[in-house]
Amino acid sequence: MESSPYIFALAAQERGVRDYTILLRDNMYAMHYTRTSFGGPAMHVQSPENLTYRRRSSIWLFYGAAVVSAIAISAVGKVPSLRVPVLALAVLAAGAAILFLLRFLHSNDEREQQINYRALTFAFAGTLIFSLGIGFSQLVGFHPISWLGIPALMLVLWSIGLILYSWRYR
Amino acid sequence: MKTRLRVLRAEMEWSQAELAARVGVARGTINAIETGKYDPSLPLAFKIARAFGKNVEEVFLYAEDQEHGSRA
Repeated sequence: MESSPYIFALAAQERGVRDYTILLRDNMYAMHYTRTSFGGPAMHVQSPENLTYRRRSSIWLFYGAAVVSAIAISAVGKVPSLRVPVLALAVLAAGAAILFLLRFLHSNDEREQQINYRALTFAFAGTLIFSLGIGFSQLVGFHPISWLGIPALMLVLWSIGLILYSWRYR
Repeated sequence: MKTRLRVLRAEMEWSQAELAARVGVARGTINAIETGKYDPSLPLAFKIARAFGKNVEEVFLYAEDQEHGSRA
């Protein structure tokens, strides 16, 4: 679909738009939707549905990979014969979780980044308070918790923060 | 911050999803701006205003009494 600037200038004049670059951009969106609806290659314009799908799929894949990694780490000591492959699975799943987390963060718009920033602050403060509490309780004789407890707690608090702040900004 | 987004969108017969696609954000963000739950950044405010072919101050109205009530 080729269009000359002259046609856009005329169309802009007709619509009373001072800057015809707005119309050029409108045309880009129109081309995107027209081409994709006829099975043609899509231009690099993200629709909100795509962004939402990418965001949701990334977060669920992240949780899945994190759970697989946690299960594999806890199983390392229990199956001595499969120690190396289970450990490799744990590391690979943890790497995948990090990649999915980055993908999730990149698919956020500015409001979602704000939600994520607040959720991270919430998780940081919560983990700090919890780990100080655990540290003091160990001084008076409580049993120490596993090192896996801290990342798990951070993950849980971050998830709670995401839900809370998503609800607040809705 | 008050906004005329809903009115302008109705004039253009755009859905929230359509406006969101034009400015490159999620539909929920447009909804949050319209309901006053979220104040957009300056670049996003300019993008939204340009999508309607208007100046920022024609779309967003700053209310001084809300200065301390903003959540964003």
